Amino acid sequence: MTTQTTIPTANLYDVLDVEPTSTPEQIRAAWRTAVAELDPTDRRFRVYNQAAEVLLDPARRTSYDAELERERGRSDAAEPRRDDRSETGASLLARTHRWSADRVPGWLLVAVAGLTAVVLGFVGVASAHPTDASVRSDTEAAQTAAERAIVPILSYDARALDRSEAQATAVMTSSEQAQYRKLFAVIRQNAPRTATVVRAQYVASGVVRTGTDQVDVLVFVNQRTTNRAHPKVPVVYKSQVTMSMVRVGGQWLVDALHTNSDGS
Amino acid sequence: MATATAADTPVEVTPDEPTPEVPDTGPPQETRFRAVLLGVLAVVLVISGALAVHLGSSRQVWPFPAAADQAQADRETVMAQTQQFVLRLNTYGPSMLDAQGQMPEYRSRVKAVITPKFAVSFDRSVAIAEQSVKGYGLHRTCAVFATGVELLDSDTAQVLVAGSFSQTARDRAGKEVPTGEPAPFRLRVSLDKIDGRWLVDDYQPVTSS
Repeated sequence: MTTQTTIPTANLYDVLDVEPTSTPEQIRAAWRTAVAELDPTDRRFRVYNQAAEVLLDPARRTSYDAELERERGRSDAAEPRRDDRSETGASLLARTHRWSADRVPGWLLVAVAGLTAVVLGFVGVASAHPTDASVRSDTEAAQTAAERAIVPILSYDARALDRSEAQATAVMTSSEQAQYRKLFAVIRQNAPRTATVVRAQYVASGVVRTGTDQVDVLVFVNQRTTNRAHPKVPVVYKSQVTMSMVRVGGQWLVDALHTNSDGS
Repeated sequence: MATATAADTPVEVTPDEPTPEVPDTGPPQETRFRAVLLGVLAVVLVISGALAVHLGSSRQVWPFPAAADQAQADRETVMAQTQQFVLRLNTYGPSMLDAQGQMPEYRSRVKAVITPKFAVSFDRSVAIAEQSVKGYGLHRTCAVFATGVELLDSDTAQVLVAGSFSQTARDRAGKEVPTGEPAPFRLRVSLDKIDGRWLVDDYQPVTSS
């Protein structure tokens, strides 16, 4: 049997739940109560016995009390080390009871950490998502840009073709510029001969669909056209154009025009 | 092996008795660290949770309802309903006439997509179309080229629609002949949301701004 009287780091009186001033009878009664319901194989049985053996032996109790007093004189903040091989069963019991009550289970830490990671991930995704207000604002900006862009795109003046082309291409993406220049090459061939002047007039617009960086806008346009055949009274062509607007460098530009009568 | 008796002295525990394995709960430093870590994680979780709810709801990230997607869905709905209205309004012919010289199927198909208020004026004008069909064998078909939403709020909408209709009529020999080139149109269609359904309430041609 190991009944060490080395300096315990826990109070044997606390183990038996008695006061340091308790009489041997009170200690014995407390020990009896403590072990009454325990199986002899229960580790607490041994610990209660060890505590009682010390406290019921007057000499060992005196020695223990002295050690305890000295221990109290040392740093109150001193904690038992994990690898302390000299700790008594009583201190073990006390430490077990205290820590098992205080210690945070590993699974709980893992669960909370995992949940926090998931929520933070969601926050990251949500932060990159456009707000409803920004989508509305972008849509309005794209629609306004389309209404302005359609005028130079569907206008030209045979007397100032370079300026007409420059004004039109200024509101287009590079890919649409390439398409437009193919068409404008034909206009360059014919417009001087026919003296054609086309003035586009914006009439109305509606949003077809919206995306993060693309908005499709339907625009109604009237094209007032004069030429050698109609030099004074312009012929008005009523057209509808679906314009694909894309944001390039913070500016909404025309990326495609769909003017066919079948809407393609 | 321990022997428990009713004696008043503590029992002896033999040295070779195997000491039950006591779960190692670690030193207080580790316990304190775990508690602090749990506290920090809990604070981060609460803050990030609140942020997630705010961002999720304001930016319509799943599983929160997406207002932007809903707006596009509403847009698609009113455009589809407008297209249906225009197609139904401009699709009729002799095959729809009944014995009384009316087109009940035509009337019901159009009325299914218009408001009761608009149905009143439609009933007054449909007689003209029925007389044309009965008298000249008029047959009208329609194509819609494009639609776009000009205005949209919770219960009203204005949709632009472009298309053309074609007509044929019986000549003196009773043969169906085109009455002219396809006639393009541009309309501004007004819709109201009634009992959750978008219905056409009026329409006007769009000529100039």
